[in-house]
Amino acid sequence: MNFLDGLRREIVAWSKAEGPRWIFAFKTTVAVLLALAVSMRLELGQPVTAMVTVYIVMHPQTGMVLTKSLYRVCGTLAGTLASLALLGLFAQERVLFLVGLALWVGLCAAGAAVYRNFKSYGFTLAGYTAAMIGLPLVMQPTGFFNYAVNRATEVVVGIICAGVVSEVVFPRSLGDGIIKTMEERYARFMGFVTGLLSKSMTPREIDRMHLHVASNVVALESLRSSLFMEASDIRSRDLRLRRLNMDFMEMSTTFHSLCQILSRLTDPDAPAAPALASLGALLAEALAPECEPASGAECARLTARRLAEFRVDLPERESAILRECLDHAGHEARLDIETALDLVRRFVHEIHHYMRTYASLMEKAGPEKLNEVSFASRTDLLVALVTGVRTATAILLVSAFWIASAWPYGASAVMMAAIGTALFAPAPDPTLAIKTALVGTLIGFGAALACKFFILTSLNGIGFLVMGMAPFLLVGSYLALNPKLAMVGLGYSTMFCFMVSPANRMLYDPIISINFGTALILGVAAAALIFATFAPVTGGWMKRRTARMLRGQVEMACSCTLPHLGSRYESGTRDLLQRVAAKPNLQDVHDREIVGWTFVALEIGRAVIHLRQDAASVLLPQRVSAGAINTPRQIARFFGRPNQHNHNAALVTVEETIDAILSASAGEGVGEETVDAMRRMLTSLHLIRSSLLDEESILAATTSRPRGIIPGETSYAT
Amino acid sequence: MPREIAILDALVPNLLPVFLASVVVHVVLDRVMAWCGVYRHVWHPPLFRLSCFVCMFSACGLLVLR
Repeated sequence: MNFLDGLRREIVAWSKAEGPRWIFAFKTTVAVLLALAVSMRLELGQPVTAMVTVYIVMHPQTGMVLTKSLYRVCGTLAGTLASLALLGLFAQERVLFLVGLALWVGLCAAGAAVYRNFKSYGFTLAGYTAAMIGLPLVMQPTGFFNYAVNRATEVVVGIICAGVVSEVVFPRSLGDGIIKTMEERYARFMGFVTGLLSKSMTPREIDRMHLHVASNVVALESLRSSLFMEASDIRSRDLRLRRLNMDFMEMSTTFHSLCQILSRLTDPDAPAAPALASLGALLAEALAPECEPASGAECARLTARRLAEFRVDLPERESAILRECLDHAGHEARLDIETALDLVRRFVHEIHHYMRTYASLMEKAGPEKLNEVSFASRTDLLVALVTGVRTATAILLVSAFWIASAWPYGASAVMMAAIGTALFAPAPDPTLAIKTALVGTLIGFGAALACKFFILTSLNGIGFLVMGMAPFLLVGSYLALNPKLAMVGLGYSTMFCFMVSPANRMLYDPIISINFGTALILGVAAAALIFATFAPVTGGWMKRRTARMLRGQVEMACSCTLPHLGSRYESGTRDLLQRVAAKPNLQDVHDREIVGWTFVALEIGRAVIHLRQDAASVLLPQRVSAGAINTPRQIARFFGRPNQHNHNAALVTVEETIDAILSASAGEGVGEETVDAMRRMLTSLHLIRSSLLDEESILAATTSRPRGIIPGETSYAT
Repeated sequence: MPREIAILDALVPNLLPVFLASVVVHVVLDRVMAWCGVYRHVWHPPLFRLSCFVCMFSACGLLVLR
């Protein structure tokens, strides 16, 4: 019995860890074989197109598959039309056709770099479908219509098979996934806040959590955007989901500013340190969960109620701290303390709001009245253009080789180069991705030869064909879920399918197969070479562009019109940050520089936006309002051209405005509302000033020292 | 009844427009059902959704080809 119990426990543990992966591998294989069988039954020319489609579309979460499919159909149709136009223009004129094709694929790659998520995917597909359909027919344009209809039908068959299988067999709903991510994020963030306020975290952990929190917002937004095709009732709560993400974003930025200020104030000789620490501990206590599970709606409601009590007592505690410190604190320290208290107030307000939205989302309550919110993404048009040119160059080079060497399989190589450059361009590190995929294609080459010429030759009928291929296919789909080997899996599966190329009338010719396979591998290799040499994404130029974009964000915060500026600014900056954070390891000096920049930009930009909002809300004394107009202008100038002179000018303006506000609030005849607004403005100004002065910040590195050398230890890496 | 119709001089099986029309109707139906909360009372919502679509498409297809 003991042995059986142990065995059972082992099996349960295994199925928890490995079960979902094998289910996914099994589902993918079933979908692929189903697509194969249907295409063969319909007597379509190349069932392999349907099979590869399944591989490209398949995703563990159902909603992703459906959304991806929709864009894939649109992309395929656009690509087919483009190849029709190209063939019509340059029939039997190979050189012109190839130039036109390179332009089209390059254009699509640029489009894919401009948009996000599935829109980008649609562009990618429109590009390489044209290559797939057009290339085999350059010299026989009369066969185009049948060929194109066949390919399009195969793609649709593949999509339908993938969609049906992933939706009906052991579905994993994206809606549930999002709820789970929300709960996880809620619990983690609460743990982060309480841990930090009660001082039980190391600086390295804190840095990593800040980065994680900041990039999490974008990841969740991209999940949410592909929700609309799923059979899940979370769709009806879509607006609230968006609201929650926005709330979270604002709250986490405030929290980051608060952390910065607190870490400055915890010097032992700072007069307010003990008082602030005890305030932080009280807040941590109010936030600490007391019921199970901590991320449930009921618990969130309870915590929100306790937080409300804390908010009631807050003004009293604040004035106590102020009274205690004012006597023996200098002008500087006093500003620091006031700013910290103001930030605590704002943070408590925002976290309270977030918790209430969270609780109402989890409880599936009826629809509430909410404002429309939108998520902005930021793209660099120049970088998109470079991506397009890079893709076009790859195609032109391989085509030139094909024409110069009269290589019979050149068309296949060009096709694969087009697919490779288009498919991997949006990846965070395309060079690495395509290199691993190349390894996969090599393995797939061997496996396909073994399967096709040793196993399939001795089998007969579709049943045996399916059984003979299934083990090979299972391996590829299993690899696809392993984050490190995913690209190997994709390369392996596509290569295997292309080379085995099952059809109603099989062609068993080793020479053709090997030649064809070699051409495919060379195409991928050419794409990898181009990614590594032509303006590499991980190179210095791209990173300088990203830093430039970040500075542009701050300039936008300083000069754009106010309505909705806050959310547009924050989401855009995070969108940029997420691209950096998506890299597997942030070892590089430039990466850390950018991450540092992002946090500085987030903080200063938001402070400027708050300053402008407060300044616009009331009628201010002459000197103060002049300062409120001048400060954003100077900061925009500094971020447009960061050098010592502009830095000093910005600093002087900020300090002048602070002085103006201080003298204005000391004077008589100012309304209560105005005093209130000026106090908030003072907080924003002080935040800007301390960020500008911060020795550790990257701002200092870009103004006084040469690029690339960063003082102090910024430990966003690893 | 003919099996194929000519759209812009290309012969297209009758079932294709029927399929597309069913997709459109199904999208609307799906929205309505999600809005009414039907999916909360169904054991396997995706299977239910697929079955609805298959029933509708097959019925329309049989009607057209009859």
